[in-house]
Amino acid sequence: MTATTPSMSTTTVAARRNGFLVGMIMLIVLTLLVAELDKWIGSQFKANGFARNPLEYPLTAVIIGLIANFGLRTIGQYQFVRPAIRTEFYLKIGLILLGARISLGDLLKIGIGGLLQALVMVVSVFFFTWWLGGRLKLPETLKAIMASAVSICGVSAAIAAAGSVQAKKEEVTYITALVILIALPLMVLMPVIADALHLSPTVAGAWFGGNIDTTAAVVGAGTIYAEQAQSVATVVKSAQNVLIGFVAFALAVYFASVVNRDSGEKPSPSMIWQRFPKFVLGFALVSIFVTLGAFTPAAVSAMNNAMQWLFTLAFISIGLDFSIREVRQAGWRPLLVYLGATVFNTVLALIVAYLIFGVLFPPAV
Amino acid sequence: MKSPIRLSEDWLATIIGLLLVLLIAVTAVSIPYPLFNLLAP
Repeated sequence: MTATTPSMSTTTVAARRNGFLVGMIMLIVLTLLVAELDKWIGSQFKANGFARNPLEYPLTAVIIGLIANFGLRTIGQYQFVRPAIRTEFYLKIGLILLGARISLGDLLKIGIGGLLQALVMVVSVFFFTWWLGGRLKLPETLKAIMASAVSICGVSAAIAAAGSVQAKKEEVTYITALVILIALPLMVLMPVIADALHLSPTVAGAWFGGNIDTTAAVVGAGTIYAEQAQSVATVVKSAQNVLIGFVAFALAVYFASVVNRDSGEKPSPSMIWQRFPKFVLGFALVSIFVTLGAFTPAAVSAMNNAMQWLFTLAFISIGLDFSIREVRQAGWRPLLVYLGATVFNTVLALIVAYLIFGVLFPPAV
Repeated sequence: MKSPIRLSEDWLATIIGLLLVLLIAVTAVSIPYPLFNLLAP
């Protein structure tokens, strides 16, 4: 075992701090660049007779992030700036600001439908992925984190499940790469398919929220489709996020009592609260304030601008987060299970989103 | 010895988000998107 000397740990902390600062400056410059490019691309489409810009800013941001990712790895500086690449952190702050665009009534209506959809989707997709993983003989731990990632919310669900089942670090890294690999094309393709199917923004948003694994790509797909789709997709995905704690607890109980029976561990129900996504509370609180008329129209507009900046930061970070090496290292079987589960998820989410948001709770936002 | 309070990323994002909402609500400070508008005609 190697002991960490105080001077070594001080050096590590200082390197991380410097990496964070340099990475943050780089991200801010890239965000400014994306905003300028997005405006320019939009004006080019408009000048050529297009009603709207089909390459909305999430796509521009992800592409810029991927280019920066390649550049940083080429010059060997990727790990240095890694501490600043915090997709979920920027996204969650942006989502709290998004609360200012949704009234409490809409939040409750979409939230109830979203929770209903989340229950159907999480249970069906989790067990389908678990079953498919078993057929292709994936390890129990990989099966657990993959089923959580596909059925709930990608990376954060994979991390929560990994903690419950004591998965290997490489398994989480692999799932993280896979989540982004699959989510990026879905973020671009699903709005195109939704458009071809003439889905209402509400049904389309619920479909994106129920299917795409990572919350950042859900918000991206919704933004590309329509403003209303962005709001619905976010609320539906948040409803799904809320279930993380329950799944993490159920997995911990299963692994302690069946897989690792001799470990003597007793998972505590407090895990449900520990894993609960706290940003959902902030989002709901802002929605309550906006319903009570606490913000002026100028303030709501300013919050919308701030949200767009934060989402751009998050979308650039998705491109920066991506790593193909981990996908290659894990082999074809986990990839096959993930793809199979994604196809199942996509079809089922479309049916469920249509039934819940097209028939039970028709468009209202 | 008690360890110092450590906030999870989730709590930190929630607190920063709410503080940002409060700041904007009080000052209505807005950063235009894009900031410079250099490329658009």
